[in-house]
Amino acid sequence: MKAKDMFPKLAANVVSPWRSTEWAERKGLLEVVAFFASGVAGGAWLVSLYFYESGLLISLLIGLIVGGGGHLLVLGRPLRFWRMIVRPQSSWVSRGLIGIGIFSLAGILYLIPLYFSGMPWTASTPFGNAMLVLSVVGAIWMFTYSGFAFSFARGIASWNTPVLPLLHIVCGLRGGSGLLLLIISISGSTVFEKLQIANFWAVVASAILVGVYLAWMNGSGINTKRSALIMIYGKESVAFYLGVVAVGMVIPLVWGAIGFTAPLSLVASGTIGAATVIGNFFIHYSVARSGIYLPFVSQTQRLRLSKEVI
Amino acid sequence: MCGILVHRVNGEVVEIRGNPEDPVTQGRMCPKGVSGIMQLYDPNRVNTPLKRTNSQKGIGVDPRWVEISWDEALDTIVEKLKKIKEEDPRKLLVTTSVTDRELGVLLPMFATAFGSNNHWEAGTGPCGDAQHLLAGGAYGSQVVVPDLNYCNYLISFGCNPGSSAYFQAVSMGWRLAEARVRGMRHVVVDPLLSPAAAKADEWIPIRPGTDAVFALAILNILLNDLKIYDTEHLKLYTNGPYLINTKGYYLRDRETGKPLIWDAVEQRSKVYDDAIKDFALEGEYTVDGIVGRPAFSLLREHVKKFTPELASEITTVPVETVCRIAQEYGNAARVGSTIIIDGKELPYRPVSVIYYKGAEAHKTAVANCIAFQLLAEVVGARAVPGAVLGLSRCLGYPGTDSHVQEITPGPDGFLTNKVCSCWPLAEPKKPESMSLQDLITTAVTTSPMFALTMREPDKWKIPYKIEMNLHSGANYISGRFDPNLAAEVFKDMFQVSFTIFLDETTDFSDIVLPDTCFLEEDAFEFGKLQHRLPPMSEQWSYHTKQRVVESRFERRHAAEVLLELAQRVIPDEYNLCLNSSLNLKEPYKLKPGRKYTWEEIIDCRYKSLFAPDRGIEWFRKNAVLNWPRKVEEIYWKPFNKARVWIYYEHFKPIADAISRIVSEHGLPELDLSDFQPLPEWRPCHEGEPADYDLLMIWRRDILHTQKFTYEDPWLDEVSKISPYVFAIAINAGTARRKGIKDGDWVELTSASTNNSVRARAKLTEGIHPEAVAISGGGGHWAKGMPIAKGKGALFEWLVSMTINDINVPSLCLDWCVKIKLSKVKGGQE
Amino acid sequence: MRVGMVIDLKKCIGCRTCVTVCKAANFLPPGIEWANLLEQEFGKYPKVTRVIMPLLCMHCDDPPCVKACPTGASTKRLEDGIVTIDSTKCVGCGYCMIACPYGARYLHTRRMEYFPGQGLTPFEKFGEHKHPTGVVEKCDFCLSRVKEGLKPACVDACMVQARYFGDFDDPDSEVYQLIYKRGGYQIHPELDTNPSVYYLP
Repeated sequence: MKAKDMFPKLAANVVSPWRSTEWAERKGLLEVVAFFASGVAGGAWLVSLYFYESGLLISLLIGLIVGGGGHLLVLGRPLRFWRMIVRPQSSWVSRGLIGIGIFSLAGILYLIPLYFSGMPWTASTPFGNAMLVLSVVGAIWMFTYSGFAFSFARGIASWNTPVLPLLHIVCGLRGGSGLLLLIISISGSTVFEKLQIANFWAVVASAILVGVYLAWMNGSGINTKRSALIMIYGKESVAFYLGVVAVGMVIPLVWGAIGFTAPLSLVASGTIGAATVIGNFFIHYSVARSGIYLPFVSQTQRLRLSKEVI
Repeated sequence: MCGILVHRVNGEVVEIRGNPEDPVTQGRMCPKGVSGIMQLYDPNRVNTPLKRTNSQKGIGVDPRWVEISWDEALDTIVEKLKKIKEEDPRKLLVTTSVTDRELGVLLPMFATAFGSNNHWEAGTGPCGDAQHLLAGGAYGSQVVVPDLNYCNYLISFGCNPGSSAYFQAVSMGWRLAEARVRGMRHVVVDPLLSPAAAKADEWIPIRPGTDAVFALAILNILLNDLKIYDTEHLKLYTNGPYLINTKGYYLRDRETGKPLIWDAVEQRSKVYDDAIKDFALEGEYTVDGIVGRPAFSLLREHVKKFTPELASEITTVPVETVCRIAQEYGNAARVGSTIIIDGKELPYRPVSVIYYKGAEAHKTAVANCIAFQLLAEVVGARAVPGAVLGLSRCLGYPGTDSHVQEITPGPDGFLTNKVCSCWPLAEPKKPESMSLQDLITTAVTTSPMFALTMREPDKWKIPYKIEMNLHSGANYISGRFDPNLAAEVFKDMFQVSFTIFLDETTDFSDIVLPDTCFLEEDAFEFGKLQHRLPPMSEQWSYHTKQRVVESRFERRHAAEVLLELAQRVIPDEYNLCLNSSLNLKEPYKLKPGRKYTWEEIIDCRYKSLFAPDRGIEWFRKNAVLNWPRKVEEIYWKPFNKARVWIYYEHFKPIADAISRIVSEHGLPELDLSDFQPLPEWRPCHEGEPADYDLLMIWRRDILHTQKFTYEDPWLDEVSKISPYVFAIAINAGTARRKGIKDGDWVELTSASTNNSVRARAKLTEGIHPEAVAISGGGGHWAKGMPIAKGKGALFEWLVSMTINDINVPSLCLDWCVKIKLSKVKGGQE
Repeated sequence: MRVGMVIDLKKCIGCRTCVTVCKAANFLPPGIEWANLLEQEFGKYPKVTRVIMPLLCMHCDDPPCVKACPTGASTKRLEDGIVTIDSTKCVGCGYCMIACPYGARYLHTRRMEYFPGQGLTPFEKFGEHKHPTGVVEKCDFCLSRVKEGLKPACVDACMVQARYFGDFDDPDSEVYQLIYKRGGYQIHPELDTNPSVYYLP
């Protein structure tokens, strides 16, 4: 008998907080991957439109396959996914999936004339322009909705903050720029200085927001403070220090700073990109893993109990 | 035993729910009852008769079963039985368990009719041997419970009332819960924060095996400091005023032989049942030149040595706590107060003291238990409102004499009850039965002595050897003491098992017969009413068990099979025996030699008990027969002038007789020191190596009263909700000192058997630092029970069984096990 | 009408009858406990107590799970306030499980047997259709029993009679009176979910 069989889902969580396995363990991690991928893809789409159109296809594929696919794969009944799309009024997950749908559809229609000639429309026709606008809306939506999906969960105090949607937006942008940097360095074309600068400041913004998030958690009551402790002291702190701080912030910032003084090699710029993207994942991961539910016996009840006992 | 209703759809059971007409449960259930469905449908059940083909027997040895036909199985058994019957019927042993209620009664009847009195109730490890002996004496009922309708202060020692353990589990559960809401104070004395302790108002953690000292200190404070005791009760309802000579025996009247008392008004001795103006409880009197003192004054004198300070040192309970509990208990007893119920004025003693296996399983079980018993007795808290009650008086089903139990003053004025009482005790005889209960007549319940006598009958001067065992229910290999010993004793005989699972014990069988489970068979209520009905329930109740689904495969109800065996081997004797044991009356008596079906016998039983129109058909339709209960049946003490012991003088002549027989016949030496009239405490073990520094305790989880409950997948699953069920509970501080962390694999080694068991450690603050606890019933290794296999640890590996581990008067096995705790390196999966 | 439950923690002994009988009455597959029970120690030796907390779906007045459900499978019944899941609509996204602060929801991922590798028992086969895989499920206050005028199985079976069931909207009902007289409380009132399960101290 394994230990985890001995102590199943909720055991021993009356007076201590507990974690749902849904978005944090086993299959639930796929959900985190899907949030991360759709955010990065949305960001990359926007950045690619501005800087480097060759990044569009990969952004689209990542958003569609990893983001959309990930969301579908975690479903118990994937074939019924259409039920989620027809009810946008119901929930953030539904809206998110619609966003991914709009993004993918508009993106594909926008991209087709770029790769295949002889289509009835091109990127510059009104239809193409409409698709462009739609895809941009979808892309923005993709790194926005996930933050709301998290912050909506009432029972998890540490997610219950407007900081998270903001953080997700910034993450989408930095992840997008990071991904594009990576694509560019792999494809071997020239280094985009402006993109590096954008990435640098996006990472700075995300670092500030993570700091704000931690400070907010620390100051917003016992339960959010517990989450902060889980994030930076517990077992999960490895993911935070290594994934979020070292890879996700120190590497892009240090190399980015070097980039201000001297032009960077393709490898260096690729490293910045990869580190930013990996960091993005761990930001999502750390937030998801540190989210805990309130204990079933509240603080006041505990005080009463301790009076009875002692 | 609880009333249930079963919902069946297309011949399959889909729901079990409580029967609201059952006054005992009021339609409530426990997890074990609900899970009966999974027992019914367990694919691991035995479906056909099996024959052993491996002549080797031993723990873990594969019997290599082959399926055989019923004819072959029964022919083999009949042949064997006939041979034994011819040689010496005493060579037959029957082993039963309380869990298989039909065979628990029918098999012993079979043995009696066959000519053997070797009946081992082997599946009752945690039974209250000494408790039953003393309760039988004082309450005329082996089962006692607190009167939860009126009790305001309950102390329980080493038992788990109200938490699906103890007697009448469901009923005690809701009654105690209601009493808690009402405001009853419950104090639990236990080394472990047991389920009962967790719900109690106060948990007093105590060093294992020292509960009696705590009780004796309270008794001392009550009798000598606070002077709270019920003089009226002691004078009229106990032997407190009986005069005791310097050797400890009664002063008896020369002519009548009756015990003498001292009339304080007339200043002269009289026999106890004479017209007496006032009984002397104190003083020293000379009658015919012999000095005698009232028993009560001896008791008071005797407990003086148990000071709160001494108690605190031995039990680790603070002095203040001992004194406070004594004061609270004394005040709550309201000695002298009365209450009017149903127009009858009755003494009102809203305090109760109950105790069970945890408090008694020691070498000095009886002397210990007297202490607990006396706590209630001295304040008069017996069979009156609010006090300890035993189900011992029943005026019978209206219009018949069935179920009549009456309490009457017997020899020397002491309480006797024909149905359920060990008093007066039988005269000890040279042992004939393997249980030794004919020599040690004070052992009224179940005897573990079989392990010793069967191994060496010559040593005990028993002139035969057991050759055959008819076995049902009891998993004795893993259920009483060191399995190695049980295996050694039982490996050489022909064993036939009626069973539903292939467990550790059926691995030793030669023939296995597939039994039906409780949903596949008809039966009447076999248990004594006292086991099922709480004494304070407003109604008497009798119910039936009826078949819900047809038995599948080749399973057959064991009662029917036994009937067939009896008809082939002892047709006349068995029917006669059933007539007397089942209280059958004309015209429903069974005719010798005639064949009856099981249903006919049930019908005869019902009609004999109740009325001609209350046969099996009536019961099938109505299931439960209730009739109202009178106040004088519940609170019978004021209505029956019978006395009980506060000074157990009767033990002395019994001990003398046993000692005489032992020396006359050269039997092995027995430690008779516990046959003493007054309560006492002696330490359990001494002289173990220093690293055996912890004491093992056996805990009963709510979900697992029996061993087979471990095989039920529902109970298995809900067991995992609790971190304690499959783990070994260790005090967190102790564990830290030993470098053990929560969830580590640990090994426990017993100082007395040298066996070890392994399980995961569960660190807890809710256990005495010197104690380690295992849940009872776990540690299965039989392949036939895959769900149960490997879960938990088996306590019995750690319990040795020698003549030195036995409390002789009650034949209670000492469960004080010193153990060594060590961490298993590398773990185990 | 708003049906609800009151659980008397003074009475509850943690016997797990509710957990087991819920499994039986609703044919729950292995690993799924619509009615659950938590127990945890509290304090330091020798001043220790054990907190026992029976849990089930709280049937909140303002259920976060219903708001989170993207398909409309989770709904709150207007006539009695019971929160139900339509298993034909549920896609098993699990967002409701994230949203529920009480851990009341279970995702039935794949068919399992109580006797692993030995097939479904006739009992399990009988209830198999009630538990499609890939969807989220939870306590429905034994809706089919409540519709017949009965009480939920756990209320009827509770060994210590600690569970009460009735109409919270009726000031004369037993549940209302108990909450009022004994100071019943909800879990996490601060989340404004207004659960229909109250606990008595």
